[in-house]
Amino acid sequence: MTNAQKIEAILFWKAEPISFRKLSSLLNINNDELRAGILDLEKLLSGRGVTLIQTDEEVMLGTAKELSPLIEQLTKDELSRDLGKAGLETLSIVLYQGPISRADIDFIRGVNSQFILRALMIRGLVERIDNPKDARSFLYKPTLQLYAFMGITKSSDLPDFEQVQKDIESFKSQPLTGSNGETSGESTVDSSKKVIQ
Amino acid sequence: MPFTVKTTSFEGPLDLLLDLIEKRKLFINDVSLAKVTDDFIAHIRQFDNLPMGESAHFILIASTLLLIKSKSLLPNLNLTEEEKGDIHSLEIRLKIYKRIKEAGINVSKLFGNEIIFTQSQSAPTIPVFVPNQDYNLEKIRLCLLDLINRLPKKEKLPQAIVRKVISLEEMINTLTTRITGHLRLSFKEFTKEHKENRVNVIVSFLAMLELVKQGIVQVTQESAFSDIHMETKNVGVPKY
Repeated sequence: MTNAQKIEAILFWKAEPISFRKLSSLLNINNDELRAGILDLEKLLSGRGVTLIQTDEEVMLGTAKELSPLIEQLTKDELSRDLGKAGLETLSIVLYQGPISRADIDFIRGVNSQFILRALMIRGLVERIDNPKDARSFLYKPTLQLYAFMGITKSSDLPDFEQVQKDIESFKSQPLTGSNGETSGESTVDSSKKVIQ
Repeated sequence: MPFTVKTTSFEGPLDLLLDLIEKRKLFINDVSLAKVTDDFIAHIRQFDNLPMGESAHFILIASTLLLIKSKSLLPNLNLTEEEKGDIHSLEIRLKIYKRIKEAGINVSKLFGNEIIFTQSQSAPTIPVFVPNQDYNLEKIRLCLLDLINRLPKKEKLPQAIVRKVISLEEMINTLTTRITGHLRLSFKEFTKEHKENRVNVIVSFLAMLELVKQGIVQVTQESAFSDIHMETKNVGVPKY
């Protein structure tokens, strides 16, 4: 039995998210072997009715997103698709910049995000973890449930995931502009905008 | 919490600011920010009944915008390191916000569109109440008493008068001094808009002399027929 098969069996039997660390210890293999096994399983499941969803720490099985309409007919759950502008902004930040502190989220949005974060946590779309760098604050990151709701199997499935992060990094490391208003090096992503004076 | 301004609602000051800049199809830099300062302030003037917490965010951004606009109108204005940092910070924030908004379009398209369903719960577990063996009536009573004692009591919050750090008037005076204290202009610059008409240049020259006489302005001329530099620097008694 390959690692991929063992992982598949455990995920099926557990029927809920399991951390990579737990899987490693259950199967008695190291992290590299585990990741290789997960990769194999991913390949095996491609084109099937079942797929793997994973964050940086956990993994679980789910239905293939193409079958969403079918399963939706069967489920009795009310699926709320309404996010609202605040929810969308905050989720986007957490998805593309997570794990991120509330202060940093507030910095980007320009408003207090306390309430919207709480609402998103209640819906299970965002989770709060301890900040390894600062015992007093928390970090917010996307949940498996969020990925599942978006039809994403891992973070790299997010459109332009790497590009957005690169762009934001380059904005942050921009030098100060000249004192008479000359523009600094703009890394403009949208070349369609023109300057009309 | 969105605030309705006419028909558009904005999530916050950065949302409004970005909207103003994008409406004019500008890049994000201090030139464009200076341009939209008046619009921004006009907008926030329209909000009535803004909760104090929210209005603080708007006022903070407005103050940075005013700083940027002042700098663009008075290039010789010296900004402190902190002020330069605030301006730089606003530009960065706006750029990041814009990028996130763009990314958000993808998020809203994907959200709830093609959902991955996870395994539904199989047999529901029937809960069974199994209390600890040494629970008795007395223990339960004590627990309940403890709980009642722990209930939050209505507290009267001690009130303190917020200490005045600096009044608005003092600030205005400080700023006025700062701005008027460092105005510096060359005569050529001063008259370049009206050069065509010789009379204008003469009148400007006379005006400058009058200002010198009144001790408002101090002039220097490096060599004969070179440009004349005027500056205000808390000049009191005119020097000849």
